[in-house]
Order: sequence, then C-alpha cells, then structure tokens
Amino acid sequence: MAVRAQFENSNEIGVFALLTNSYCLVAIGGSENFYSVFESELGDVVPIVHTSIAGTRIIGRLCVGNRHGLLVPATTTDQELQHLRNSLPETVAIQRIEERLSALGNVIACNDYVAICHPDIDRETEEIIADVLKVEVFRSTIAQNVLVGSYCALSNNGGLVHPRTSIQDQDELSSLLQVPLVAGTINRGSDVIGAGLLVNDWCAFAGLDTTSTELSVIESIFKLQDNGHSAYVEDMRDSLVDTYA
Amino acid sequence: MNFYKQAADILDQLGKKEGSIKGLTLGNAKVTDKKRMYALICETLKHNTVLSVVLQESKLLTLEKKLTRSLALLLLHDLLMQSRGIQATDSWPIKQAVMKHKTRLKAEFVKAKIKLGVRSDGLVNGEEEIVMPRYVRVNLLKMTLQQVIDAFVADGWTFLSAPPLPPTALAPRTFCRDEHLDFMLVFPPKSDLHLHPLYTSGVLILQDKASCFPAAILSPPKGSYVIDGCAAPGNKTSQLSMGLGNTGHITACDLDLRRLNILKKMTAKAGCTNPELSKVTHILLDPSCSGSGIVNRMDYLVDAYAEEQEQVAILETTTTGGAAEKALAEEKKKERLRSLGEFQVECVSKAMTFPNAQKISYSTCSIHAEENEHVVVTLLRKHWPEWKLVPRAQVLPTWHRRGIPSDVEDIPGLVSTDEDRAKVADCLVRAIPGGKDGDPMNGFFVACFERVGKDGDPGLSPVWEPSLHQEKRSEKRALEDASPATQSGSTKKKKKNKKKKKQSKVASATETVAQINDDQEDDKGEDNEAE
Repeated sequence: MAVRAQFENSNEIGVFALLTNSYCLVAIGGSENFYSVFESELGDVVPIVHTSIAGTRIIGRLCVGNRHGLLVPATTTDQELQHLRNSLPETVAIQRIEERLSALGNVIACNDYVAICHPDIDRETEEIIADVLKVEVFRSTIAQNVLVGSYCALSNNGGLVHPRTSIQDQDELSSLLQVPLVAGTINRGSDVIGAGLLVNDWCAFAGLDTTSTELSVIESIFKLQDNGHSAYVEDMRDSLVDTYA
Repeated sequence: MNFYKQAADILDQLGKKEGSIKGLTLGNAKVTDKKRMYALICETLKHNTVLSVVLQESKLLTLEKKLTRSLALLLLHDLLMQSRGIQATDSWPIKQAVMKHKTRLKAEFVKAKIKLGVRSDGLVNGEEEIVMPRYVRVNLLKMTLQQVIDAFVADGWTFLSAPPLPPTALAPRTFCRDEHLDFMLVFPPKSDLHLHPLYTSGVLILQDKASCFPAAILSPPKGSYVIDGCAAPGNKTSQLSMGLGNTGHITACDLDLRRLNILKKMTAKAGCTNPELSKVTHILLDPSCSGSGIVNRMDYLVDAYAEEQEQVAILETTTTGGAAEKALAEEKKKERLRSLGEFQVECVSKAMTFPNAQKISYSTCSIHAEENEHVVVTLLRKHWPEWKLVPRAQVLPTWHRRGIPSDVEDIPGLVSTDEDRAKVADCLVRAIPGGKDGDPMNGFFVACFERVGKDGDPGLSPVWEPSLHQEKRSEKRALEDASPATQSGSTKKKKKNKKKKKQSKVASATETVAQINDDQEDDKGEDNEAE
C-alpha cells in the first residue's frame, strides 16, 4: 500500500524520515500526526524511532541504511548514537562515517543487496558501506546528477528514478541493481524522488501532493498492490510445481 | 619465492615472448606447483580482456604503487574469479593493497561484465573457446583401421557408421570415421587419449585433421624418394612413411636440434624405418609460419597479451595518444608476415630446383593470405609453366573450403580474369578454425605443385593461352639446356653431404631448412672446387 503524508506542511517527507525493511526513523516534530501515519502502517512490524541527527531534523538526508545496518555522518552526537543503538534491533549494525560528503542520504541509495553512490565518495567509505550494509557498491550517476540518493528511491522489488534518466542509463542501472526501474515523478511533478518518497518491500509513503497517477506508478513498480494471499500463491506456484513435480 | 610473484615474472616473460606457456610453467624446474601455475597463467590470459578493463577503470595501479601490472592481473583473477580468493597470507603487503580496494574492484568487475557482454563462464562474447573434436590418425604400419575400431568397441566405445553434424556434436564415448581421410578416426572434444595403450604403443597418433592434409595430398606412390622439409615433430613424416608402406625413402630435415630429437622419438615409436635421402621425387614443405590458424596452443592468448602490453607501454610513454606508435606496431606485424612469405617462397623455389622432383606440397597453418595465396601466386609467376598447380580432382576433391579467389593476383599469361582466379583458388585447400561457419579443426592451407612433363599440359586445365606460353616455355628450356652440368652437379654434392650424416639412422638429419634453402651460389662454389 502507498499512503500520502506531510511533515509540518512540507511534502518532502523523505527529508524527515528513513524507512527500511527492519526499522523506521522519524524526525522529532511539533505534532505527532506524521508519526501516527507510520505507526498505523508499520504498527508492530518494525520499530519506529524518534531521533535527531547532529541536532537537526533532516535525518532522511543525513543517514542511510537497510535491513543490515545504518550509516550516520561524523557529526552525529554520542547521545544520538547511543539512543539509536538502544532503539534499533541488535541485528542492525550502526556505524559513524568520516566522510567529506556528509549528507549520506543524498549521496548513497541502497536496498538490501546493492548500493549506488556518488562517484567521488571516499574509497574507505565505499569499503565501510559494503561491510556494514552487506551490499555491492557501484559508483554511478542518475540522469547526470551525482546526488544519487536524492534522485531515486529503491527497494528489493524495484526502483523509481529521475524522470530525465535515459533509457540506456535505466537499462545499465537496472542490470547493476538487478531490479526493474522506471523513470517518474513524485509530489505532482517533482523530480527529487528521494525527498518525496519513502519505500520498503511492503509499503510506501509519498508527499501529500502526489497525484493518483504517480501513486499507481509507485504501487506497480514496487509491487505494493494489495492482492491478498492469492497474489503470493500465484507467485509461488511456478516454483512449487518446479520443486515437487 | 612467492607464488604470485613467480607467476607475474612468467607473465612478463610471456609478454616479451621469451618462451611458451608450457615451457615457462610445466617445463620450469623452479616452479614447485606446476599444474596450479599453468592453470593460473592460462586462466588469467583467457580473461585478460575483462581484467584489464577492471584494472583500468578502478585505477588500481595509480593508487597502489607497489603493484605491477602483471601481478595485479593475477591477483584480480584470483580475487574476482576464484571462489577461494587470493591464496596468500593476509599480512602480505601486496595482498593488503589489493584487498583495500576489494569493493571497488568487485563493482568494476560487475560493470565490465555488463559492458562487455560477458557470459556466465566469464569469457567475453566472440572470444569463446573453440571446441574441436579429437582427431586421431591410425598408424596403418602397425594395425589396420578395423582392428583399432574393434579394440575401441571392445573397450566400451560406440562406433557410429555415419559422422554426426556438426562433428563437435559427438556424444561422449562414441566415435566415427572421418569423411575425408580414410585413416582417421574422430572422437568427442576433450577425449583424453594420451594414456591409452594404443597411443603409447604408437598405433594411434594424435594429429589434427588439418595437418594430415599435406601428406594426404602429396600421396607419393610406393617406393618414391621423398623430402620432408621443416619436419619436426615428425607426425607428417610418419604419415608419409605410412603412405609409402615403409618402402621408398624419406628425408626429414629441421632447423631445431631439440625438435629434431622429438622427431626421432616419434618416428621410432611409429615404427618407421625408411627415412633416408636419395633421388627425390616428392617433397613435403611445411615451413615456419605465423601459426595464426592454430587455436589449441594458447598462442593467440599470449599474442593478444603481448600486443596489449605493447599498447600499454606506448600509452604510458607518449602523450599524443600513440596513434603513430600503433601504426608502427601494425606495420611491424605486416613486415613479419612479409618476411615469412619471402622465406616460404624461397623454400619452395629451392625445392623446385631439385631435378627429379615431381610433386611438391606446400602447407602453412596460417590464415593470412600473405603466407598462402600470395606465396602461391609469386611461385607461379616465377616457375610456371615448368610447375603447375595440381587440379582439384587430385587435391581432396570432396573438401569444401578452397582458396580465396579475391586474394589470387594476376599472373601474366595464366590469370587475368575472375574466372581464372576462381580456377586457381579451386586448386587450393583451406581450413578456417572454429566459429559458426568455420571448420572443426585448426586453420590450414595446402597447395600442391606438379612438374609439367615434356608433353604435359602446363595449364590449370583451360586457363592458359597456348601461344604466349609456348614461347615462355621454349625460352626456359633454352635456359635450362645452357646450364645442366651445374645443376646436376650441385644436387649430387648436396646429397653426398646429407648421406654422410644420415646413414642407417632414422632421420638423423641435422641438415637444416637453411640448407635446403642454401644459396645456390654456395653450392656452385663448392661444385667448382670439386670439379
């Protein structure tokens, strides 16, 4: 399911939250409305953590993570780091990174298997990404933009990229990422996908301005349509028949 | 010495063409784990294209000054293509230098694979390994074909009466007879026969089909006197001997003493007793060539690697992009082909001066026209109408791939139109290795020349104009008549020389190709003294 949400009258919810398959971080805001949207969707499935990074609320742009780990910039305070360690599941590794490009959410995009990052990222950072997030790391750009984290949203099922990404680039990226990609917009025509959209393997949150067309593209590329159990059975039938016949 | 460092040294030597893969690995006493070394070198060379791209894109060599290019290639191969990774202690600084960039290298490897269209086995498209059936020649001096077939059937193999299409599609443990050569059996690709009792006893000879062509085409009648120039390692010699049924005489010559010893061993094993020189009527010439048709020797891997090394060196030393240097390298390659071609022409020309020679087969394992069609054309220009090409009817008529007509140049009085070209090309036999429309064997080229008798027809059937060439012939006759003494004298002298060295023993000729090629002036000089 894809739902719309707003953070204190801003549609850029990707700036104020971070969503993965095993946890969700939200910024500390004036009202609890934003938090409630996540609470109602994710409920008991994954922990939802209120936090700030380096004293700011733009946590979605400053850190990056997936099921296996969370990377935070060097500016993160010790208290914040301790709070995160206490709140997140033990299986999630947390690592503070000394990187010149400190808005990690803007320069890295990842799912549970692959990460793409800014071409100028430090070699050591690259190794840390690979070790902590347990992913393969590729340097790349999206539609000539080096801020790959801002201009795309990825899950293990698919990806939405900048609307001006050429077909050739899409093909190359999709063979690197091993998931289908589509070029599209969010928030009624905005091209900063990463800022407008939060997505994991079973749900997505988009800015309040997002049109139904945009939402339907999101639901189809990230395979979020609510088909109940029958969809899974259909999906699995072929492999079951293969295995047991 | 560290295994990888040693491997890197070997790779460097290969790049400078200071030895062969097998010689530097399996035949190198300093290497402790020979099989592993051979495998590592072969695999690294095979995947050189992908690895070089990874190396270049990751800029590993500029970041890690400790690494040399060849060492980096070897380590990359083990890191990226071997599940067990680099087999060295973690404290080795070179390994640490590579492992620091592990993530980047893996990423670049994936990218390179996508970019170059690499298949699952890690080889780039179009660079695939050519699969060839295992051709085996049955030594009819020792056993009949039927006996050999029966022996294999008793061994659990299945004999197919009709060869499958393509011949590479032979199922494991089945075999059949070859459709063109009746003493040849075809086994599935990668059949390991080198420990088979029939091979060790000399009944079977592992010889590619292509290299059986020259002797089969020359097919000297029983009791002939034959020279095999550039004979080592002697498979063709023993095939000739088999064709003669150990009658007649064969002289085998080669330049390289080490290879000549192999020849002695091979012919003794095959039970040949006749190699000896006398009045030569048939000559088989397989002179040194570029070997561009041979696919099994891994030479092409080394060549590609050496060439790339050169390019890298050029790019490093110049700032202009090295266009001129590249052109120079290309020119060098052409120059090499040209000089090989000249040598080949000289070889056959010399053979053609043997007074009793009736038939000469000329063969190369090259696919370049410079060493094939062009050599034939040059020879015809010089020696036609004394010598002519043997028509297709006597040169493997059933073999489908012939010479390339567009590479046959004009020969005054003989070839001028496209029709003539096609006729000349039809007399030549070619084999193109592997691939979609190639033949399942090494690349090869054979031409067979025949001396035109006094009343013989010197043309390639209708391709000649009687008037023009009658003149030319009579002219040549006149020339010959003028100097008969010197000619016969020179050959006699030569034979004497050779006989001394070669009495009784099997092909002990240390006579060299060079001697066959010896300047006539030299011989003449000696003759004069003798007289």
